[in-house]
Amino acid sequence: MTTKVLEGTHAISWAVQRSRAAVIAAYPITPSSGVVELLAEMCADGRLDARFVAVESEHSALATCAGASQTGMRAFTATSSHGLLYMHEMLHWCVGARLPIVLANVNRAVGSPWNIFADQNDSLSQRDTGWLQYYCEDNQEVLDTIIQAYKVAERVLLPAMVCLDAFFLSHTSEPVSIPEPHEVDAYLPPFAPDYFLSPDEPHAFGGLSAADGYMELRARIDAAMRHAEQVAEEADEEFGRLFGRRHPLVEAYKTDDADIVLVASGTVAGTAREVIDARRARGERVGLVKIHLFRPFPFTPIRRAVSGAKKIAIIDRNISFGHGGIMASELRSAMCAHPLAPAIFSFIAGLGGRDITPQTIDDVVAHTIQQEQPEADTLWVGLKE
Amino acid sequence: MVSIKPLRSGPPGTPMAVSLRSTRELATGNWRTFRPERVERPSPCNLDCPAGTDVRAFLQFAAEGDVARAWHTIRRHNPFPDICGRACYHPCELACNRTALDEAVNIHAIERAIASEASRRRIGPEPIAAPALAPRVGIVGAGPAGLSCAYHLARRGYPVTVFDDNVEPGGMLRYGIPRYRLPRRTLDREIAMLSRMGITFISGAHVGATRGAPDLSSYAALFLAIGAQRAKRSRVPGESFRGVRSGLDLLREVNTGGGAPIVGRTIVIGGGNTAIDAARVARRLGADVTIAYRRSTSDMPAHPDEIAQAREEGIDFVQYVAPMKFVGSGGRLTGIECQRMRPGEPDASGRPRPEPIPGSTFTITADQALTAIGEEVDVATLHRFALSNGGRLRADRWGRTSRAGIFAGGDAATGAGTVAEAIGSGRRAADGIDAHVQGRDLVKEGTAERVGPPDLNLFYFAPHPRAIPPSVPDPRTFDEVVAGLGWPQAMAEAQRCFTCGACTACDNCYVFCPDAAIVPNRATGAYEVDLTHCKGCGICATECPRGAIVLRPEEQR
Repeated sequence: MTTKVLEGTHAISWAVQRSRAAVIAAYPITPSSGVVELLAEMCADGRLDARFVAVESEHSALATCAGASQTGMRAFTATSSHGLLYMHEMLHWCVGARLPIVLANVNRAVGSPWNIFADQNDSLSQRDTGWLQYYCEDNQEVLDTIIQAYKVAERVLLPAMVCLDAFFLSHTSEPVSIPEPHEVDAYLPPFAPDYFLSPDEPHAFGGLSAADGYMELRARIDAAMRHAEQVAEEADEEFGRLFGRRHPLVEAYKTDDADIVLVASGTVAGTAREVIDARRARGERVGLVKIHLFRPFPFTPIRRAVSGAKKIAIIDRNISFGHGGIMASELRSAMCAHPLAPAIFSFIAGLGGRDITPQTIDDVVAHTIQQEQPEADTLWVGLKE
Repeated sequence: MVSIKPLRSGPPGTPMAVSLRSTRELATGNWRTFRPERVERPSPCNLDCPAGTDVRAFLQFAAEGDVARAWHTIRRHNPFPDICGRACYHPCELACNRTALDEAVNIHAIERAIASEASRRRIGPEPIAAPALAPRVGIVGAGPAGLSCAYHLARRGYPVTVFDDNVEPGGMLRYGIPRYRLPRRTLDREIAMLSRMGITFISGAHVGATRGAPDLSSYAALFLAIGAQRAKRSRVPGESFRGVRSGLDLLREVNTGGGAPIVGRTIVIGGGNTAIDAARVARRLGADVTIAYRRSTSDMPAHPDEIAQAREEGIDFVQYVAPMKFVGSGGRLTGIECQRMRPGEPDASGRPRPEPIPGSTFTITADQALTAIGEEVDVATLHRFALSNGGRLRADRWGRTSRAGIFAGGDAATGAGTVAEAIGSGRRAADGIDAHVQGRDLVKEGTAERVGPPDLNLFYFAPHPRAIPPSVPDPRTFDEVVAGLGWPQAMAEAQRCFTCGACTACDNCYVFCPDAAIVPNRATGAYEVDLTHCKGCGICATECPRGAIVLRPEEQR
């Protein structure tokens, strides 16, 4: 095990190198460019034995990965914001074709107007494409999750997206442990799908499947997606045994006797721990739930983690216009039949990279404590008057 | 009732839409109504080379810089690349498909550069067949036809003896073509290579003589290639005046070391290459030269380059003028009475037939007149063989005459009058003689259709100007007028060749085939068509730049 000080993008690069991706196709976009810049170097200097394909668009990048994956090669791409949106058609295709590609998405706001800073709307707007989605709190988690994502994706034959906040992770350097190649090899076997495109034994993939077969294929995707939760759980367990680090799909932090549970994802969860610790030190019964795996949505662990709470405060760095925080709406659907029916306070904060400081989070918790019930379905944090 | 239930696990089946059976059987080959076929079709340059040279192949080797293979490729058909690079009027270039894009490939300049570079690198001839126990063949006439026949027989291991009544071999190459077009060292070098092959030359042997003629009875076969050495008489009254002679006489005199200065006005009568040669030689000897021709200058049979160089050397041309009578005083020529002509209806040659304009006679003053209206066979030479027919020797494609074992070719038989025709005639006669001696039948090569511009895809060729070596027409000297191309220039010029009708492994068919049905064999350079997948769309044939793929209709199913 080697420890390096890495920014988030390079943590991804190292994870991809250790995962022995065989084909990398990417089109650079801020703030994800660093990921493929380092990978290109690694391909050039021999540290990674992969074909690096320079393409002319994100659509082509993912199409290239799809082609590679279809032939049984482990494929990787990285992107952000508009780049991810440009891949939209291919995101759907990769799912239907059951191609376990891993994609790193640096969560960045979507224009107009131009904004390159942290915001989850890019990946959450791709929620229904059928990709697994992980959200990461720090650079170590980024590296570990990429490796885990290949393991899970290739077992359930679904692509996986690993998301990290723009700049707060992508461009922030932290000490990161990089497992040795043989250790990763022991964890992640070579990609060997049962069905792959080969001139030696040609089969037709993705040809016309009319109403008589399409629905069953969709049902198999849904079944695989639901099964992915268990596979992800097992993958994390095994990872923990081999590497001594766990990244629970849903992490419950000091929630055991908590009356108030704060729910967050990404770097906000890291900031929130401090606030929880400070209030706990004052004897307040508050806890934190971090959503690490968002798709498949881990209904059971979430319900378990918030089960004793009287109130839930959830912070969304995203917004579904006309509906509210996207994670809040998922949480509400998970909790709608819960016998205790805790009040759910949904906060929109930090859009377009606006800081979510410990004070912001503390104010959110204070507000939740003070109010009996939320005064509306959605509460905006820190809007200028 | 329709089933309504939660999803416990996915319904049975493959994860994705995939054919369980191999798609090999879903090949589109059975849609096909046309079948592409990779072919090698003759290029126009190859078809139009009278010597039968594989022009396309030697250009390809030259383009690759492989001078040895280029030189050997020419010499498979033609012993004289260095001579032909200069003295041949290159009908290959007239046929060149590249004119559809810009200008013909400068084939003769490349041929000359190949010969020169092969000589500079001291590349030797390819080894010839070990002299077999073949019977000796006799050849009468050491002109290009006789030499070509001797060369091709010697390559097959025949002992050959060549008789000629001149002092040195070469025929018209030596005694007809002026030095400024064909330097003697070039001629001597390539003829010397024949001597080194073991060909025996017997000079001063006048085969037609009634007495002292060599005994030809011991030869298994004879090839008569005595050429057309005699100038046709002009039938213009007054030919006996001093000052009137044939252009051929002048050329022969100059080429045997003579050539006294000529003073005064010289009129050359004729429009062929001999007329131009005679005019340019007379000019070099000091004469003031005018060429008089009864048709238009543009209808002259002489090569346009020669005409242009003659003009540059200060030779005048008068057109639509026919001589009526040589006039003189004291037995010496003083002028030529001429008739003005005008173009009439086209004749058999396609050119307008010249018609006299009534009442337009006039007299040109002249100190000398050189007639050059054609050459004929000296049939007297041939009385021994009694083969003459209308002034020529009658022979078929392989030189076979009505007498077994007697072959004839070159100008004496074909009347073609060019070096390349003579070389081709000699080569075919060698085939005929070989078949005669071995008792084999001869098979005429099939007549494949030539590749023309519509068969090519010119999109793949960029315009590039023809390389033209410098020429310095200078009437003061017999030095060579046209310079050669340097080897790098010649290589670049050869790269202009389209390689019409032959695959160059450009990969276009492989790249464009939408069914991936073209299977290149990198080891052999061949491309096979996977007919189980080829649906006969024809894209390969369309995208082939050089017409090397044709579509043939499938038989009806």
